[in-house]
Amino acid sequence: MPERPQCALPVVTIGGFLGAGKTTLVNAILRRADGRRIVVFVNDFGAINIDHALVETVEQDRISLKNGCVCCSLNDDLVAGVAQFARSDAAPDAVVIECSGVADPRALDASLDALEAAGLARLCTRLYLLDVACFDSLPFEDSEHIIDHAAASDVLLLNKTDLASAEQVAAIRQTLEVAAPYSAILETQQAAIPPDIIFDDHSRDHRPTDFPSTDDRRDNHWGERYVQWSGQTEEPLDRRRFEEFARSLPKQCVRAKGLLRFSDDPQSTVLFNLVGHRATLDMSNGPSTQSASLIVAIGEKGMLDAAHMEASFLALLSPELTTELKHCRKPDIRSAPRTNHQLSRDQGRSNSASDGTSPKLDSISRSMAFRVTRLCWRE
Amino acid sequence: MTETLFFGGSIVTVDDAFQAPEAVAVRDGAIVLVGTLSDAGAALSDDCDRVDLAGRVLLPGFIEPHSHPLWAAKTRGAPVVDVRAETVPTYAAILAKIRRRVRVARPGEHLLFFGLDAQLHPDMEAPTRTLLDEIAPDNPVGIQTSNCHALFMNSAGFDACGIDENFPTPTGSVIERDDRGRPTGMIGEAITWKALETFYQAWGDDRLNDEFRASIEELVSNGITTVTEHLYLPFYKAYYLSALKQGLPLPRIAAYQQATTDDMQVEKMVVGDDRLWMAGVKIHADGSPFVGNIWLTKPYLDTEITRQRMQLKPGHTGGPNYPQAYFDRMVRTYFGQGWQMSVHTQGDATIDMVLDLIETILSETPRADHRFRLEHCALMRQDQIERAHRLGVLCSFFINHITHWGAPIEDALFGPERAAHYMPAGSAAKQGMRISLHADTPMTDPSALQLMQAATTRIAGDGRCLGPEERIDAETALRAVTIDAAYQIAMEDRLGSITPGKHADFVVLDANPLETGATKLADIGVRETWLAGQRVWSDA
Repeated sequence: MPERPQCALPVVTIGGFLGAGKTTLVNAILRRADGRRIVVFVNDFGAINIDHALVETVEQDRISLKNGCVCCSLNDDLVAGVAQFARSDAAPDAVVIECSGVADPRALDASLDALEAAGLARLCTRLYLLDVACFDSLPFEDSEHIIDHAAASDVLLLNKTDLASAEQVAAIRQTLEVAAPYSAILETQQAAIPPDIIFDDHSRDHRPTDFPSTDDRRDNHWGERYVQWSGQTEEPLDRRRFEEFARSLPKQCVRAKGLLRFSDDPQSTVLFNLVGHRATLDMSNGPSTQSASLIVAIGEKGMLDAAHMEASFLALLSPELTTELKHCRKPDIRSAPRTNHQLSRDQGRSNSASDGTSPKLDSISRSMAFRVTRLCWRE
Repeated sequence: MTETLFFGGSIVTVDDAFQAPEAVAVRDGAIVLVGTLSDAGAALSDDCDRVDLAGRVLLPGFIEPHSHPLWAAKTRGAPVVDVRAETVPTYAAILAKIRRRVRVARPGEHLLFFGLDAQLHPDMEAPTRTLLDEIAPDNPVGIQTSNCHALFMNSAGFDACGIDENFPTPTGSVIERDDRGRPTGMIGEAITWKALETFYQAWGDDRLNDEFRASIEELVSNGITTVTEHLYLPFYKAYYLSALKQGLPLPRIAAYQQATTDDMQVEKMVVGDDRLWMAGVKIHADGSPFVGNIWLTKPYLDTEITRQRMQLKPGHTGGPNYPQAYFDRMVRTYFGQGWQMSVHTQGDATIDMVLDLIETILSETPRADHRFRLEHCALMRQDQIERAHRLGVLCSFFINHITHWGAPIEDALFGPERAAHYMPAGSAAKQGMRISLHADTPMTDPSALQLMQAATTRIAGDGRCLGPEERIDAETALRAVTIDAAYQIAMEDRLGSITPGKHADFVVLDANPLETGATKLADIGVRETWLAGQRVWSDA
């Protein structure tokens, strides 16, 4: 089994054709890092537009920001570039790589594999942006490339919906739902998505946002678009039933994270991460400070149905309840006296994924990745 | 006279002693001395070219012992549309892509899609002629499976290829038909490759020449200096000669002619200084494990994939490609002409049949150095490995099955016991057999380093290890893509190691594959490729 040392840096890739909104997204990530120290490798160094007040130092191919983030020019040796940050004493919290506008984002796979094999990094999220306003006017080959590239993403942003008609957006969405069945598709303007969807950090201390920019009205209204759900239980989980639960998640949410204990190995904490249709399980070897299993899911309003999540969470806990639920349809958590669990329904931004009850993850030694549609566990 | 001195890096000779010399001296395309820098320098004139490896690693050029370079250009290059699962993840997405392509097609344009995969496209159904007619009423359309062994066509496709109810099914091929004999969509084995030529020809030679250049570039950029063309057909020769004439960096080509009938002539071809030659004859004893047309002693698993997507009945054990008598006659004929035989075998029942035949032939007409090759060898049993080795039969393993299809091989097709010994390179190496590893391009991309990683880790795409006992060590893996691969194409006296007298074919790598560790082999950078003493590719 591939091993992931504790320090493996989460890597986010951002793909998309020229003009799809990659730079806008990169600028937003740098501006609103939420306390994360992020290193961004960009293609077009000159296009990065950062308020001078936020800049600490500027070098030829590197801008350091006052919030701890760094923006680098993407040079030939990406592996060496990422490795250098991963090995440094003050390793960043995440690396973001902006792919070249015309290249297949999968061209990065070899570099990412090399970094994973070296234990320096791990793939966190593959984002892909698509400009819905100009998609229909592209030459056939270009639009087919975009469709192929989009299919290799975890989260696909149909961007610039404000510049296209509802019919256009609906038609493009329909095409991509078939072409990219394993991507979570979100409609965006200005490439705006919550950082909690981009990053999967479990144990990060949420620090106050560094730069409450004047342009952040939109960011402060995630709650209008996104919902967060969480569930917690003291009872160790049955692996097989968790598989079923995990399989149902991509229909509901864009991102889910969890700290799990399974009944066949209750001493171990397992980290669960899902983005789009891709899920990972990592064994944590570190001393555990919590006996509960905790799952958090983030999804779009209207897609993430809290009642449905509660029902499937209860089914995960107890098979008897599943039968019960089939009869009563409307889940009532109080009708489950044998479990000690909590369910919460959080609107918008919330810190519950990494509140004070989460354990510190000292060491992750075993890992595997799977696609939830073809679930497969091996340790 | 061209002279070149290589020094200043690690030199992995892959000779018997794996000696680590300081320098290599090359004159006129041949290695003249391997040893200390002063000896090598003294062997050449003072104004020789000096190549400072600058800490990098010089190895013998890689040998890909079972691929199809020209055929890869035909099969995979534009305008063929890539629909492999890594690009187009579902069957529904493939159909949508075909519909979009048909909408922009010129009248009568031939459209070909490569990569339908019953194991990797989770919702796959066999496309029927009726469905494809509905999608494309006017354009010939073909969808080739990623294992290359089957093709689905619409009516315009069948018409273009001249396959109808009156067309007899050639021996060894499959044409699915309805009650009245009308083809219903699927064709398999040799007729597939014949039908595809109709599409390739419709696109013309300019297209093929362009794609062949790309195919050559892909080989040399992966450090491959010798490659076989398995399934060579006589008309391929013109393309190779043209590539050589244009000065393209064409790797050395060992051709294995496709055995289609027992009276087909095989040209005793030798072009240039070991640039293109007829190495032997290839024959298919069975088909592809992913289609279901291999011959097994124990049946396939009964799973959703075998039943729904592959449409196999429970208890399916497949069968050989040809009637036994026909197959025997073909092998005897070509072997009798003195050719090395390279036999495609996947199922263990097929391997029994082939080893029986080889044993009979060798007892009747003994030949000390016959080098019978078995190709792929997916489900070869331990007793068969021992028997093959006793007979002097060599195995070339298509090890990328593990990396590309490992999960379905174990879960959907054969179960954990057979999966643990699938492509049993470790067992064969333990017997002392000189094994080789191949990518079978266009089925998987050509990279000797990927093959080495696949054979030394046996880690499938989803992270599982398929049969740790069958892993081989890095040195065995390196030999399997250099000197032992050279042995299998009977060129070990001229290729496969950095030894005086041999051709100066080299690859320059960023790191030594004997030192990086198994999981990092595929990521080693290829910096330069040298063929016959000339730098034919560089990443600079």
